[in-house]
Amino acid sequence: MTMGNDPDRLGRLMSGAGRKMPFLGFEDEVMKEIEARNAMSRLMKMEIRLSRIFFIAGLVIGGVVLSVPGLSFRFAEENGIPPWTALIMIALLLVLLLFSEKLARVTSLRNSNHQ
Amino acid sequence: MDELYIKKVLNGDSDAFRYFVHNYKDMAFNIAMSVLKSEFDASDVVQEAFLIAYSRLSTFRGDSKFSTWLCRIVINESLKHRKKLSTYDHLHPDIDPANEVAGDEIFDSIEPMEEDQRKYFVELALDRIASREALVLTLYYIEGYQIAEVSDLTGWSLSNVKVILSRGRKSMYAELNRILKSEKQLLY
Repeated sequence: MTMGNDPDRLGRLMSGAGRKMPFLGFEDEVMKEIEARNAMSRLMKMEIRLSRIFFIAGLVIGGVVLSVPGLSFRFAEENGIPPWTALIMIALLLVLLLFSEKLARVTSLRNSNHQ
Repeated sequence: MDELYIKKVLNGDSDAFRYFVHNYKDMAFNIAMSVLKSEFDASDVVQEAFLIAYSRLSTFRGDSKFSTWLCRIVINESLKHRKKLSTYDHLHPDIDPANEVAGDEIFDSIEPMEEDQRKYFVELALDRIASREALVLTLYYIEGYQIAEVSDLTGWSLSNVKVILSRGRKSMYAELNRILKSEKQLLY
């Protein structure tokens, strides 16, 4: 190094330097992004919780749906009802269930749109 | 004070994190700028660094200061971003010992200047030197870290940091000299 290159003087010169963030909305932008990520993670957690609940509910309902025809046929047999009548009754019940579920979904969608 | 706000954030008060963004955004920006040399890239990297710090705050053990921890994240993200951009330092040729300049002359010219002008020259020179050198000089002289701390923050060995610091000083003298010369040419 050439004589006279003084690190202390460079240090003094540089210590006064240092840039400042030039973008005025930076703080708000970061906080907004944090909020958005928080909302997303809350939503994800809720979705995971709901999917677990629906999985269990699906298992239970599936079991019930599978066992209902057998039980119904036995009930029909014991009470002298022809098996095909019991079958139609079960089919109607399932259609009614599906229809009411769709109806409930449409109603809740309409309500949320009104709000 | 940092500990208090860390607790607040960890207890679910996400808005308390604004305290860290407010207090450390300039430091983080300064470090990112030394590596990336672009305000937009540096700002993006600093934002990402704050988001990482927020999401990993629970892993902060408090062995070091929050600013040091954040500084490490900013350095990592800046170097990663630089690698991704695959940019090479647009540098002036290596410093030839024959072209080495006497620092005293430079300081004698710069020191009497107004503070804003001095700052402008230093920032301009930092923008023109290699990222590694600018980073080490920024951490050491502007942010006030010791050489061992710089080594710890960057992950570079102690001797490597010393070499980079020494080269950085020479590069700064050369760049400041170049800037001063071109300024003089403009004036006369």
